[in-house]
Amino acid sequence: MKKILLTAAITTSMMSTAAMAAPNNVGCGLGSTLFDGQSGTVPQILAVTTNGTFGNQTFGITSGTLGCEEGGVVQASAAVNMFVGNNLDALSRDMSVGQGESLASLAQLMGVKAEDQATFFSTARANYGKIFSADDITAGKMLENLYRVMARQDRLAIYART
Amino acid sequence: MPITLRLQRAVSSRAWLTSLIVLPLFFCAPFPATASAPENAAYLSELIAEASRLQLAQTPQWRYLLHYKKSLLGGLESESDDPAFFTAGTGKHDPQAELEATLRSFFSAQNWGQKDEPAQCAFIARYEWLNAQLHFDPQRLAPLPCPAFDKWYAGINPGGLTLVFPSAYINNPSSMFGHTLLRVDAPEQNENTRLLSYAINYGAETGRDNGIAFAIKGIFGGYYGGLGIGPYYKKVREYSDFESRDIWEYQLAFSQDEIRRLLAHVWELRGVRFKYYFFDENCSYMILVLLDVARPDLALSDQLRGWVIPSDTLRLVSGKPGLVKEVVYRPAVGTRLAWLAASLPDDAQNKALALANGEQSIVDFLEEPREPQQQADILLLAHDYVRYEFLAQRRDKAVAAPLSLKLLKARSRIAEARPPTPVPRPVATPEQGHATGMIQAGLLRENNDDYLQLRLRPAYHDLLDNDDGYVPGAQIDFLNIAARYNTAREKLELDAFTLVDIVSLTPRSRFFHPISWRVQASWQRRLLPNTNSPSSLAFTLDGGGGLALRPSDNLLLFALLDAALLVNDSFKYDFSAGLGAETGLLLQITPRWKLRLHAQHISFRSSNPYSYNNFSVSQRLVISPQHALNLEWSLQRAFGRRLENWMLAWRWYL
Repeated sequence: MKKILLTAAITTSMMSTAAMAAPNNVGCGLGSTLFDGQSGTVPQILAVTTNGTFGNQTFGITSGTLGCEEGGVVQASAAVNMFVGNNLDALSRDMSVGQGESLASLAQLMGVKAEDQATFFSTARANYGKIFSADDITAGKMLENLYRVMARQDRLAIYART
Repeated sequence: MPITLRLQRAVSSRAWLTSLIVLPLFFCAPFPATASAPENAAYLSELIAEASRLQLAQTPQWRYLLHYKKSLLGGLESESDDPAFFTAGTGKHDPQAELEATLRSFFSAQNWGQKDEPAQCAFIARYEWLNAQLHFDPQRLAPLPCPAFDKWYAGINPGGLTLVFPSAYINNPSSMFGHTLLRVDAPEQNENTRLLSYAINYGAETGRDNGIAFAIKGIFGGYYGGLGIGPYYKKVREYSDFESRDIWEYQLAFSQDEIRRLLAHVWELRGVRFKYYFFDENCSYMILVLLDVARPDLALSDQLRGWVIPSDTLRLVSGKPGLVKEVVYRPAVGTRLAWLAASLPDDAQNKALALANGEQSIVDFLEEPREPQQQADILLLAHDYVRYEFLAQRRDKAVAAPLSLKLLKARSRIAEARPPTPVPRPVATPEQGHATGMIQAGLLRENNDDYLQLRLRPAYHDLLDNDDGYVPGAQIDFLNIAARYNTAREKLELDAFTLVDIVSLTPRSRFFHPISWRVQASWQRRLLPNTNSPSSLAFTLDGGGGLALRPSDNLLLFALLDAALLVNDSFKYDFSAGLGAETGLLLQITPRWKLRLHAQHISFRSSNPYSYNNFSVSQRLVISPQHALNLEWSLQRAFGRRLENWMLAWRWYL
């Protein structure tokens, strides 16, 4: 009995350690990098603008890569990852300045309380070099770095999910 | 009890072996969740009778839910081109039949047709509205759970609706027409977290089509349109970053019930096909239909003319008292870059350019003595410029990304620097501009002849029109037709007919190097080799490219190199082609008085070579937002002759 309980305990703690390892580094936009995508402000003479639908996520309830979205709605578990993946450049600018809409939205998604947001913003700015640690950094790696930085800050450690 | 009856009949009329086979089959068959057929039929009849008594099929709400419009032959026809949208075979033309069939469909717990849920969920907006009107008895028509819809709705977490208007691309007058989409805001958001809202967008599925195919299919319904939903941040990246379009957000006053009805209808429209028509059943039209579903009293989609221009729909919505709560301005990356640059002195701007072009290293820059705030601003400006150039496909990611990172890293180290000031909102909002149609009436004198002139234009805006709500230096003139009546000779004739006249004068600056351009196809009165009359109509196809400068806020200078083609049978081989140049200026003398000076020289070389000069001085005085006064003088010289025009006219926008 004791042996079973001990095995169970070890297994559980191992599982949670595994969970604390790096987040899924490719799912839900985490593979994107800085300056991704190329579409331009190209002048067109008679072109009506594309005004297209949301690409292939038009609507299917069962669509959604890797459980990121369903029917166009972002799954709660994927919300932070998708946001970072789609807004990496804006976040980079906002963190450098220590303020901005993308950064405020990220704080909201991470559940950072109103009274801790100022600390979140200034911590991000002060550790910009550690968070955006390479030219070709992926969104996943950036998030990992951000969580590590947050974990070392008293007021932000509780938000540093994995 | 009915089941027992059936069983007795089966046993009595067939051998027991047969009933042994029939029974299990019967028991294996899925039972409907609701009461059996005869009870269903009775209650259904009651509901239909009540619905007819209340005349529900004739209400605006039912009409909007089914997208019925008066058809050309009288009667109603739904704009949906998808049989799966209707529960009745004749649903597309018969609101009463559709309502009855819809009620019948609610009694089935099976997945409806090809859909993955029962009719109560697949047509949830209809279900909820009919339930509210007829008060379904849950004992006789059991409500079915709709888990997929509930999860989707909870994920969106609706609290408010906003009408979003991305305006024009830079240097692209056609995009002045704009676009509209809807945004669903969550209750706990503020202006800093709007990125997390959801956007509902109606667009055409055009694949990779381009050019003529794109235009023809778009105009004549060759594409299907569909609704898409997704996080608003994706749309902001697309419009604000990649396309550098300013976005205007009109926050609307809708109740929670109305918003639910709109979203329930969006759910009903999943996968439903509508033919997309660029002119009248386009992105903006569908948004108005959705708003009408939420609140039928608005009847917005009934108040349009034959065509639907997105900025006109803004006017319609803004015109409803109390509907627009607030208008929020979201500047594009290009606008933000221009503002940040203008807020710094010239030498600072040059520094930023040098950093962005790699002419000076960041390390060296930081060693120069400078106020930390200005250092920070220069670094940010350099970054914004690098990013803008990348988005415009003038810089490679391999170079732009590392430089951008270095600049931002350096800026992040300047702890005491304040963030840049936000871009101020333009005084005029898009719906405050002049109306898009125009009628003009006035007096015209051509050399020694006097005329009365009448001019009509369905769309859109020219260089002299008041720029409030429009892009200065941009012009789109479509189907502009002018007729003149010679008072002395009592003769009515065509003065000019412009198919299209597009001008884009976008000023160059340190950070922006656009090529200004124009293109025109029209019939115009020109000096021609024949001397039967002072002027003759010639088909003109011309265009030019060059540059524009804005030395001060109210002055725009431009110079273009031109190519021109004229068609008229007085030329040898019926046409004449030439090259030349033009120059001019637009001066806003006072906020209501605009002046345009223009001079052009073309050297026609083919067939009969000749030189052509053209000078004009035009003025427009704004009397009120929808009325203006024009005074114009122009002179054409060619073939040793002159054609001099004076015009005084009243312009009415409607």
